[in-house]
Formats: sequence, structure tokens, C-alpha cells
Amino acid sequence: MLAYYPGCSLSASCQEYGTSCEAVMKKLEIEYGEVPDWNCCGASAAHNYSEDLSLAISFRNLVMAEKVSHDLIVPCSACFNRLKTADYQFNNSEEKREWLLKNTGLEYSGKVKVEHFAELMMRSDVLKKIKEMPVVSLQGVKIAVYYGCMLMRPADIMRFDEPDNPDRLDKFFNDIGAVSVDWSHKTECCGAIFSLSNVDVVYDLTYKILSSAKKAGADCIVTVCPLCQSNLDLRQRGVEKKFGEKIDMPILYISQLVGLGIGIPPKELDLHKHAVDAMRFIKQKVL
Amino acid sequence: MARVGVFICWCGNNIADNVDVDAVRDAIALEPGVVCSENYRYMCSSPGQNLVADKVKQLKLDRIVVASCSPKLHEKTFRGCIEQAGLNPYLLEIANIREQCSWVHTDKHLATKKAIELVRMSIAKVKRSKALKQITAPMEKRALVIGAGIGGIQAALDIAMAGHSVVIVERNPSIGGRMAQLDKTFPTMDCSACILTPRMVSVFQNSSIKIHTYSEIESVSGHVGDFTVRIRKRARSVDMEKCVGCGLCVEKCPMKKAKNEFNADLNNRPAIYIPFPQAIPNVPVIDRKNCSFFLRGKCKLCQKVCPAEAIDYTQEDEIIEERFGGIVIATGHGLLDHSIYTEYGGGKIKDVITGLQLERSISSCGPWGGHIVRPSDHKEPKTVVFIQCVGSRDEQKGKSYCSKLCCMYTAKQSILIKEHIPDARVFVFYIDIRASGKNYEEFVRRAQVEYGVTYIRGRVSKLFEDGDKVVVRGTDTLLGEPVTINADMVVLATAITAQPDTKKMARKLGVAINKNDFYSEAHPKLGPVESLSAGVFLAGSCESPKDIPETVSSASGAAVKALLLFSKDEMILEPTISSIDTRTCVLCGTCKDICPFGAIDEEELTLRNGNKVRQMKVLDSVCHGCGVCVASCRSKCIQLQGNEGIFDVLESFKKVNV
Repeated sequence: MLAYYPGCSLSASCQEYGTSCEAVMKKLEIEYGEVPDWNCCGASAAHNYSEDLSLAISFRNLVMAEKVSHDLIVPCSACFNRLKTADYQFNNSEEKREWLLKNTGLEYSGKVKVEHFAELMMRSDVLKKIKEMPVVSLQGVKIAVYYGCMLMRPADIMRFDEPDNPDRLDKFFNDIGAVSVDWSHKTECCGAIFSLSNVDVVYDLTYKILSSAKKAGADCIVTVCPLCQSNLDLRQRGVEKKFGEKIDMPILYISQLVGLGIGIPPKELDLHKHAVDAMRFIKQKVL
Repeated sequence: MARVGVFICWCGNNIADNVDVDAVRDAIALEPGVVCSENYRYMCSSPGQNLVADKVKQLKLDRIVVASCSPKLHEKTFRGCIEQAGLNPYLLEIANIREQCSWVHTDKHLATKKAIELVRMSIAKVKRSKALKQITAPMEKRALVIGAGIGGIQAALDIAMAGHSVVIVERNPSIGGRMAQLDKTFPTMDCSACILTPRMVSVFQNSSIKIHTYSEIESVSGHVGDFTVRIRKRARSVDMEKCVGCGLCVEKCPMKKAKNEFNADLNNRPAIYIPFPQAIPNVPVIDRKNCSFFLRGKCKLCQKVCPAEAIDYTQEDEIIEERFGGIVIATGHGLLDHSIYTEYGGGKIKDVITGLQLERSISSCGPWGGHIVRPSDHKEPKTVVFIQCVGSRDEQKGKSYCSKLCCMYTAKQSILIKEHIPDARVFVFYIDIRASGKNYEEFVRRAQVEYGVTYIRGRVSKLFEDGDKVVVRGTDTLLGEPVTINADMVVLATAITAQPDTKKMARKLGVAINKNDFYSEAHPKLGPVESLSAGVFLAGSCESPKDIPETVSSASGAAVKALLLFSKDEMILEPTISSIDTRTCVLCGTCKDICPFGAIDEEELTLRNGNKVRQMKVLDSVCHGCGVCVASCRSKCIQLQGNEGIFDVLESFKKVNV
């Protein structure tokens, strides 16, 4: 039994990620339960305002997760970053631990293990299941794996992969049949929440990412974060307009690509809801 | 009954400000055995010393206590002073009332009380001191030089020209070191090989110098004046007497997969090779790890084509043993492996190279015949970016220190690129420019003004490939703007480090190294060419990064230190060493096992009646006087000469009433 923390984005603007994650977990017969009464992790806004406050609200999620299981799965990279940081601080800083316990009045063992949804997919038993399913062939599908930044930094807390040149997810996708391309912008920032406050910044940054993926010959970009996906997807038309170039690059979630591979119908993975048409690419390259 | 003279120094204000020196003088004057108690402003000065000497003579003093700064500074001074006055120099004790009293306490009243106690303790000690005689040991007037780069070569030449024999041990198949890898030298733009090779020839032809190339130090034992060194002469597989240097074997060798270390791994070399055309000796070497015959028993082509029948696969390593009076370490430096800088490609981007690799490219005997080309496609680069301080001045990932040479060699290389490729655009990203040598600043200005190299003050945050370009993302901090350059080639000035095997070597030699693995000098200001071990001297970059003139200076300095040893026929050693009372020694051997220097041995003597008897013996010239054996002896039969009074010091301390 796993504890599942969807986070705010998955409930609203990035539903596809939530839908597809749950569809995949169900298909792979992974038992999970949503964390009861979970609250917003605070992402960037909270720790910008007050480090201690952001730790406290993430800490509360860990406490609530413990009610379900000691294995916590988090799909969103930003939520993952905050929850993992809270876990790290609780377990490595005497000072922070005391502060959290005292000021929240909550009880916590410190035992919840925080894992990204991608890490769940890469677990050896889950990977085995994926490979054993009668897969829809992902052969010949060229993907650019976009790690984003919050997944891996700071390196000693996140411990996901080496921040400048990661290849853990590339290896995973190659293992399940897709072909990941070598490209230069796999860890470059997408502009994150500037999407709302200064969208021009996002246009500039995502243009570089999209062009680089296109140049490397990718058919689509695969992301592990709802904010990255929405910046690359929802803002793509704006980028095309600003730079006067047609890009037409579908942006998929890791759960959607895995879901396709294990035979879940595209509509069940909400692939029809993307801003940049993903269905055409799937019909051509995958099915 | 001892006649003790006590001399208390004011040390200007250093002691007198915080210790009432008059009160100390007066209190000490009342101590039993103290015949005279004086204080003076600067005891170490001429008048101060004269005061001591006069009192010794006038009052027939036979034990002296000087209360002053640390004995490390002036113990020798006062020993010399009383010796001149006719008293044995070892009848002196220094009470440190500066570093251990006035400088570390703030309460003058308490500090004065402490000073009085410290002097009392020294008086108790000195009363037990005995008159000791200096020990002599024979001096082997031969020098060992480890490393045959310009430093080792210079040291060897200096020592040989003073008339003593030298043995050089060089690990590589040829002498020459780093200078042989350089194309030009700053700031004169002399051709490096042109100024080096005459010295290489000199050292090779000098009859007093014996060079062992392709050799390593196997072990070192002994002490200053008498080191025993075992040298491993590795098997070249080529007979040096027969080889005529035709190079046919190198041409014909089919195994061309080994990395060419001399060319900083830019290209490959055959299994049998001569590292560079001007190599001395000009005899090839078979790299057995990459040779078909030694790996699989096949081939033997080199033997077939050799006109002089010089190939000998049966050669084996030979170990020779030699004795030396002094050793000069001139093992040079290494370079940081920049693959830890993943933001710069982690060593995986082909067109991101190191300064040394660029130097080899520019060199006419380099991988590309002196043409500067990109390693990826061998095209001439039109936009070149240099990044300084890769690994230097970086406490987080690299080395905290500055490597000293890179600002200069980067300027040099940027000039060379402009000379070879006049229409190239060259950029240098720097933090500071360190060009402090003679004509160095003017040299860097030349690069900027005459050659139009663009210097950008800022760091580079990322390098990545875009098509066939390397995109350089950096900052221009003087303009306050980010800078992006699409470069054809990027050159990293990587940190100068110690040689990778320094820890092992230092242990063999019994020499201290610092936290960066550079050899520790005896004193950071006044002892730059001596190690902390007597008789072992340091030349060149093995002590700290140095350019060529500094290396040559330090090599000559190290040579002189060796010559100072050789100028005497005998080694004079301090007598403050252990001595064993064999009457009460039970031969348990604990002292021998515990001695960190191997200075205690068991010897067998034959008595007059023919009986053989075993006893423990202290090797005078090896003992460092550390006292560990004294503490370990169960029978309390070992004494540290000059420290007989140690228990009296403790007794005196027990009486202290704070």
C-alpha cells in the first residue's frame, strides 16, 4: 500500500497528470491511497516567504501520509522537492526537528520515504511488471526527456541524479522501448511560475528548450512536472507567435508515455486534453 | 651546588606590557641556587647577549635560564652566546614567558605570577642538565635528485658543478618534464624545447651525473648524511647500449591504441615508443601493458625490424642500492581532472580541452603537427574561449588555492592562437589577472592591446553543445550582463595539483605533505627549499605551483642546501637524543618497536672474557629526540639527554599555589 500525494496542480490545470498516474497505478495493480486531508506544499511561494512556514506545511503532509503508509509517491517535481526537503530537515537537523514538532504540535516518526512518481516507475518490481505487460511498442519513438530543475537540485537533498547531466530517466525510457535523444536543454529551467507573472520570460526559456529538442530530432518531450508540462504545452502557441516559427512539439507526461506502453487507451490518459495536439503524434508514431 | 644565572627579557613591550619583569627579577633572585637575576629590554640583542656572557664569566655561572620568547626563535642564539663565554651550550634552558604567558593572558597580575612559576620550573630543570658534546657522523657526499624536469636538471647541474656526484631518478622514459611538453614560454615567447634541450644535453653528458630513466624510487632508509636508497630500474625491453635510435621499431609497431600521455591523451601512440623527438635518452621503451607480445605472446615485429638487435623481451626490472648524503625532490606537478565540472561538459565534450592539451596542439611535435584544430572534426577554430580558474580558487568542488601560472599561460596561448589564426576571435573569462613576475603584466597587456584578445571579467556557468558549436554561457560582471558565445573550441585552465602519487612517495621518503599533497617546506617564509626532514630538499612545483624561473631558483637553492651538507666531511648532530643505561635494561625491546624513526637497535657485543652479550643501542644519527622510548621503557633506563630534569619541572609545578 502506497500513500499518494497529488498536489494542487493535478487537481486543476494539470489534471492529465493525475488521471494518467492513477490509471497507470491501477493498471499495474499498485495499491495506493490518497493522503487524507493533504494541504498545498507551498512550492516556490511559501519558501520564498518563510523557510520555516514552508517546512511546516510540507511537514504536515508527511504526518498525514504516515496515516496511510511509509511509502509516499509524489508526481509533481515541485511538491516532491518541498516534501523531500521537509523530510531531510526533519531527519538531519536536530534544531529543525525540535522546531517542527514543537510548533505544529504534531507527532511524526520521521519514517515516511518520499518518492517521485518516476522513481516508483523505476522500482525494479514495477519495471518488471511494465516490461512484462503486453506492450504497445514504443519502438522508434524518439523522445526528449526533460528533467527540469526542481527534481534534482539541491543535489545532496534530492539525490535523484547528477544535476548537470542526468541520465537516469533516459535509461528507464530506453529500457521500456523508447529512444531517448541526447539534447542540451534537459535540465534548463522552463520559467516555472513566471508563466503567470511574466510570461515573456517563459516564452524565451521554453523557446530554447523546444528548439533544442526539435534540433535533436525528438518527436515529443516527456516531462515529470506539471508546471514544466504546462509551460512547454500551454505556452507553445505564444512561443510560436513571438518567434515566428512553427514548433508543433507534443509534450507528454511520464505517466502518459508509460500508460501508452502498457496498453491504456489514450483517452483514458487524458491525452486529448493537451494544448498542442498529442493525438496525431500518438496515432502516427505509437499505435 | 649549581650557580644559576637568570636573564629575563622585556622583549620590548611584548613581555613587559603584560608581565611585571621587575617583579619577576626580584622574586627569582630569592630562589635557592640563583646567583644572579637580571632583566633587559632586548636580551637577544648584542648588548643583551654581552650581559649574559659577562655575567657568566664574572660570576662563574654554570647553569643559565633565559626567560624570553619561544626557544624556537633564540635557543640557538643563547647556546652560542654562552658557548662563546666558555660554558657548555647545553647547560641552558629557555623559559617561554611570551608565547606561553604574556601573549595569551590579559590579567597582568596573574600573568606575572605565572611567569615566575615558569622560570622556577626552568631553574629546576636546568639544575639537572649535563654538559653534552655534539655527535658526528660520516657524510656521504653524493646527492639523489628525484625527477628530471627543469628543476631536477638544474639542481643536478649545480651540485655536479660544485664537484659532487649526483644520481637522477626519472619515472618517464625521457628527461625533460613539463617544459618538454610546452611550445613557447612566457613572457619572452622562447621556444621551450630550444632552451630546455641544451640543459638536457648538459646533464646527460656530465660525467658526475648518472641518470636512471624509466626508473622509480623503491625505498629510502637512513638519515641525513647517510641515506640508503633502493632504485627500481624498470625494464625498457630495449638494450640501451645496442639501440642506435633509428626509430624503425616505433614506425612498424602495429599496436597503436595506447593513449599518448605526452600529448595529454589527445592521440594514440604505439606500444613501443619514444615520447618525443628530442627525448634523452633517445632509446624507445616497450609499454608492456599495451604490447601484443607481452599480452598475448604474438607479434615481435619490432625485434624483426631492428637493425641493431636491440630488442630484448627478456629484460627484467633491476633493483640497485645506493647511498646518498642528501636528497632533492623535484617531482613536479599534476593537473586537475576537470570531469568533476559537469557544468563544463564533465570531460565529455570533445572540443572542450585543457590548457596542456592546447599547448600540445600548438607544438610542432604534437598530435597535429603544430596546427591548431578542433579535436572533433580537425577544422580550424575561429572562435576560441578560454576559461580561467577551473578548479582553482574553488573551495566547494576544486582546490582553494590559486594555481599561479594560468593567467600567464592563458595570455600566452591566446597570443599564439591569434598568431596562428589571425582572424580568430579569442575570449578569456577571468576572475582576476595575476601577472606579478618580471614583464608579466606587460605581457598580458600585449595580449589585450596588440593582439585584440577580449578579456571578460566573469564566470562561465554552463557549456553545452549546439550542432558543431560549444555554447558558452557566462557573465560580464563589468557590464553587468550575461554573455553567450558560440565557440568552436573552449580551453579550460585547470588547476595545478600535486602529482597523484605524492602520498605514497612522501611516505617512502618520510617527508611531510600538506592538505593539498604538496610537500611541506621547513618554514613558509625562511625555509622554502627545505623539507621538514633533515637532508631532504624541495625544488620546483612539488612544493607549490611555480613557473620556470621560480623552479630554477628553487632548484639552485635546494642544490646549495645539499652542498652545505657536503661542505663538511662529517655531519654534526644535536646530542639531545636518548641514551640507554644498559645495566638496568631488561632487553624487552619495547623501545625498538615503539621508535617511530627506527633509531633503536639490538646489538651483540663480545666481552673481554669471550662471553657474548646483547644490549639495546640508540643509533645516534637517527634518533630525533622525541622521547617516546623514554615514556615506554618499563625499567626506566632510558634517558633523554638534555631532559633529565623533566621530573624536577613537574615537582616544581606541584608546588604552585595559584
